Amino acid sequence: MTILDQIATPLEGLHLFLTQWLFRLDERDGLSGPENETLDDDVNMFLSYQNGNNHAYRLLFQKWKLPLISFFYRSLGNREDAEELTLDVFKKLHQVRDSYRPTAKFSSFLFTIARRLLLNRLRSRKRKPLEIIQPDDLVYVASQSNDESPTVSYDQEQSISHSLAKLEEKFRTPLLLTLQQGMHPRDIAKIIGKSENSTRVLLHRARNKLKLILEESE
Amino acid sequence: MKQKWNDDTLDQTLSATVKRSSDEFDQRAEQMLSSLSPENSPKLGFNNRPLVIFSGLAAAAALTLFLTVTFQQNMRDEAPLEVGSDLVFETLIEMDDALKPGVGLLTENNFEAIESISWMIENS
Repeated sequence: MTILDQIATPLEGLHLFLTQWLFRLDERDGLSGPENETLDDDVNMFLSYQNGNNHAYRLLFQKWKLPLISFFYRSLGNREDAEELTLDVFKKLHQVRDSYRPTAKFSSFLFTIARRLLLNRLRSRKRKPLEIIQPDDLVYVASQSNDESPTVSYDQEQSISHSLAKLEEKFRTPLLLTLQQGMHPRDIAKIIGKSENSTRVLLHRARNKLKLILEESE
Repeated sequence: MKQKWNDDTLDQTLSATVKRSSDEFDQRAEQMLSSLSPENSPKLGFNNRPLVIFSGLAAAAALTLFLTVTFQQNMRDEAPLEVGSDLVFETLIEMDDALKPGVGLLTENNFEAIESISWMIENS
């Protein structure tokens, strides 16, 4: 374990604490949006788990495992790493269950944990080589809605994987959260610790940067 | 090339999610989830055989110790006081006569202690 790892673990806990504190502050000041004032089903499920219902935890796991694996896969370009980090997210979720307060969307809470673990992994340099998944093993939004075979080729998958690897994390994560996870910029802002407007600007710049990298690599 | 990566293509590619998790992941996940199930929580009821056996042995040992101490205490309480006192007194006197300070096998401290006890018995 490197010194950075040793420092990162307590910092990670501090960040989670501060995130929860911030969410509560928003609620006290009446700054939270209407979406945050209503508890989503996942929040209720996690509260049920907090009260000892382990079946609720299983349901949450089943619901969120593939989105998390997909997020980590696009972030790291390796499926094995992605699956390992997904398990780590749920272990961390179990550890912090008693301190959880339902003050924001569950997905925001979940991906805040996911991003912290991702940053730790990026710092530790334990990443494995890029591994390209065949398009047939992926579900694209277009093919989901039209039930058509994917129009994305293996070459395109290869290009996007290499280009995402070159894109900085501060651009890559918001882009994935919005396009892959379908999150609103307001929720992404909470995860990455920026204002909603800054997040929108970041998303615009991220898209342009990725296009530039893709064009340069062709 | 720019035609290849228009906004729609980019959005579609980045929207991709994996269809399924690997078998290894599923196995590890099941282990993790099972470790949180109520079946693996420590039980205090009679269904937990090792706990019941251990508790039974501990209770038996405690009861044995209690009965032994109580029995010995009763034996001491019920022993004739005169006989015990006389024996101690006679022994101490004999030792007092036989062993003088600095001469016998007992140290001075021990001799003083014996003298004190003898004096207490004599004056009780």
